This record gives sequence, structure tokens and C-alpha cells, in this order.
Amino acid sequence: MRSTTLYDEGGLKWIAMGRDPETRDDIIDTVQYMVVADGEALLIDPGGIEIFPQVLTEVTSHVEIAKIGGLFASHQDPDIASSMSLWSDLAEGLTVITPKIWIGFLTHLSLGTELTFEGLPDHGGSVPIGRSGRNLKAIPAHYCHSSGNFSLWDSRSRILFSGDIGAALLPDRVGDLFVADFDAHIQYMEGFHKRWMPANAPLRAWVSRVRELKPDMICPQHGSIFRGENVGRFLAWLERLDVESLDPSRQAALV
Amino acid sequence: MATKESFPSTLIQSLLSGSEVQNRVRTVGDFTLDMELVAVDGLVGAARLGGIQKGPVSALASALAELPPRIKTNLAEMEVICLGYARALSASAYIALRYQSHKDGLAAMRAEGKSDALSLTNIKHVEELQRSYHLAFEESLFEAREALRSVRAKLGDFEAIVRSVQHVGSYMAIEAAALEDGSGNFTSLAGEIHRQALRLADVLGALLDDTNNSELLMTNRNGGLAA
Repeated sequence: MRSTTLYDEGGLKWIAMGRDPETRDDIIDTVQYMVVADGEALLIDPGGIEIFPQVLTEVTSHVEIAKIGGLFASHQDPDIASSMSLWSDLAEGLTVITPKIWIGFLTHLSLGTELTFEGLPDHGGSVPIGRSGRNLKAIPAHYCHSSGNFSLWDSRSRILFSGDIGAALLPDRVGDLFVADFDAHIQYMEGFHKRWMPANAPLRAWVSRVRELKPDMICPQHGSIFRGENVGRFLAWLERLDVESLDPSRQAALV
Repeated sequence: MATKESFPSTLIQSLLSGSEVQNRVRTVGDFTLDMELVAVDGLVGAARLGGIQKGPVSALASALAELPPRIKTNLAEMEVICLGYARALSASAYIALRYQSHKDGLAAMRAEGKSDALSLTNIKHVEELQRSYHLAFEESLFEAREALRSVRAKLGDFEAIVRSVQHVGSYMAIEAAALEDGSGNFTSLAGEIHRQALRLADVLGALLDDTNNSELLMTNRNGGLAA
């Protein structure tokens, strides 16, 4: 696994961790993120138990473990945060910040430990970057795909963590972390969105919310990061995408 | 702890062994019902008898009727003990899983070979956590073994019941031989009592094997969770 610094200015740092050639082929590839503000850290969708050792290695090359104060889990899937109890073991006082509706479900992944949760209401709220006193903003992304789901916005770096929105299933797990050729990238996103996103309306609403933010970077949890002109291209593509039509994958699932 | 490769299967086997003990205990419930039916046969048969033979056969039938409630009481206690054992086992397995994950994490951090202050601080942090988990794992194994000891002690109570059943069965056979009328019924009843006693003895033997297997999976330093 390797780390890529996405932003580093004024004591604020965004780090993406992924592209691990040693991840087993039967595990969906993920990109994990961490925001560090004044030495205090927030883990963002830090991944499943299977990749915990690799993520730990990357995290600890940037920040002191004791300084990890928070873990943001955008939704309830196991690839998002099934490692959360291990992080909680390591970082005393760690708070798991997640959609309120998923707390009772995520507790099933506590592995016998008591986790501290902070539930985000449907309209969103502030997400602290550890104990730094700085905050990110949870942007509602419900039904994209999960029924309780948030993106995370940082107005300072203008980075938006989008979770499964913009996700791509790439054939090459070790390629460039940033989308280089948007048109060529569509083929890796389309199937994912048509299969996992349940409806058009929530996607359109999300696009509208995100356009107002004017992000410089959109960072999904699978695939590649959009920056520069590709941010606008991605939003335009997503706005037009019809996920309700019965593509072969959906049709097969409905039989 | 087991090796990284064998750990998941050892963990699952260990948890499964706890379920096997619980499921086996539940089969004793079927045995209780069958014993109740045998006891009813005994009581009804004894009630039909007259004369001098009625006394000893009635006493045996009453002794037989006392056994199902004894089994039921012990069974209820055994279920509670088994639940405690399964809980101790799952707590131990959780700790083992977390211990193993942190151990893998530490190994990955060390493999980087970094010697800067931040890396050394973090490695020390994980080492301390791993040490505390090692102690916690040993403690949880101790608790699981204590729970297993309670299961075995309760198995001892059941063995006493088996001996009582066999005893009643043997006396019933003796009394049946002395009966002039209806000896056939009591002979077959005595046979049924012996069959039930053997059945319970078989279940207890299998339960003992389950507990031994479970203990091996937990504590064996060569392939078990504690390896």
C-alpha cells in the first residue's frame, strides 16, 4: 500500500492510502483517507479487517497513533470500517462518527469491545478532525447507495470525500491514483453505479449539493480521484446517468 | 497463537466446538422425554400388579419416576453452564482475533524498517497493546477452561444419574424374573431402561470428547489458538 498526500498546507493534510499490489484479489480494492490537522487525525473509511495491517503501516508513517481521535464511517458496509474496533484498541478515546441509523448495525462489528459512537443526523453536521478543534462537514448522500450515507467536505482544501459515489472497479489495482482520461474511466464507473445506486433522484440531489461547494477534488473510496476539469466532467456524467433503467446486471438480479 | 494462515480456521473450529457442546446437551432433552415415558409405563404396570409382588415393583417404578425430574433439573443447570462456556469461548476468540490483527499490524510496521522517532513511538505503542492483549488472551483462556471444568463437573452429575438408571433397570429385571403374571412387560421395561441408560452414557461420552476437543483447540501450543 502507498500513501499519497493530496493537500498539505497550513497544518492541514489530506492523505490517500491505497493501490496495494499485495491486497488479495477477492477483496474489493479500496482507498482509505486520513485528514491531519495540527498533528491530530481523523480516519475516513479506514477499511476492513483484512487490510488493517497495511493501513496501520501507512497511518503510522504520518501520525502518532495516540493522536487519532476520530474515525468517520460514511455508511455501514464492511469494507468501510470493519476494522474500527482495532483502531479503537489502538487509539484511546477514539470516536466513531457515522450516520445515526447505522450505529446499532455497526455495533455488530465491535468484536467484543465497547465502541464510542457519535451518530450524525440525516441533515448532517460537523465532523471534528481529531482533537484539533477544526471540523469537516458531513454532506447528506443518502441512498447513494446506502440509505444512511454522508460525503465529507473540507472547505479549506476544497476536497470532497465522496465514498461510493464516483467509485470505479479498476482492472489495474496499482495504476495512477488520479483519473487521467475521464472518457476512458467511465467504463469502470458505469457498471458500479448502475448496480449499486438505487435511484436517480438521490444522485441528482447530491450533484446539486456538491456543485454549490465547488470542490477542487472528489475522492471516492474505490477507484480514482477526480481533480481539475474532471470534477465537472464527473458531476455532469453522474447527473445524466440513468441508474433506474434495467441494465443486464439489474435485470438479472430481479429475476 | 496459531500461525497467520491457520488462525481463521482454528478460531472457527474453536467456536464451533463450543456450539457442538451446546447442541449435544440439547439432545439430552430428548432423552428426558423418553425416560418420562418409560417411567409412566413402569408406574402403570406396577399399579396393575396385586399381591406380594406389588411392593418392590411399585418402589422401583417410583424410583424410576424420580429420575426424569432429576435429569431436567441437571439439564437446566447444564444449559446455563454451557451458555457461560460458549460466552467465555467467544470472548476468548474475539481477543485472539484482535491480538492476531495487532500482531500482523506490528509485523507490517516493523517490515518497513523505519527508525525515525515517529515510527519508533508508534511501534512501541502497538507493542504495549499487543503485550496487554497477550495477557488478556491468557486470562480469557483461563476463564474458558474454568467454564469447561464446570461443564465436566456437571457431566459427573449426569453420570450419577446413569448409574441410578442402570441400578433401577437391574432391579426391575430381577423383580420381573420373579413375577408370575406380566413378567414379559417388566422384562421389556427393564430392557428399555438399560437401553436408555446406555443412550445417555453415549451422549455423555460424546460430550466429554467434545469438551476435550474444545480444550485442545483453545490451549494446544502446537496448532491451537494458544500456539
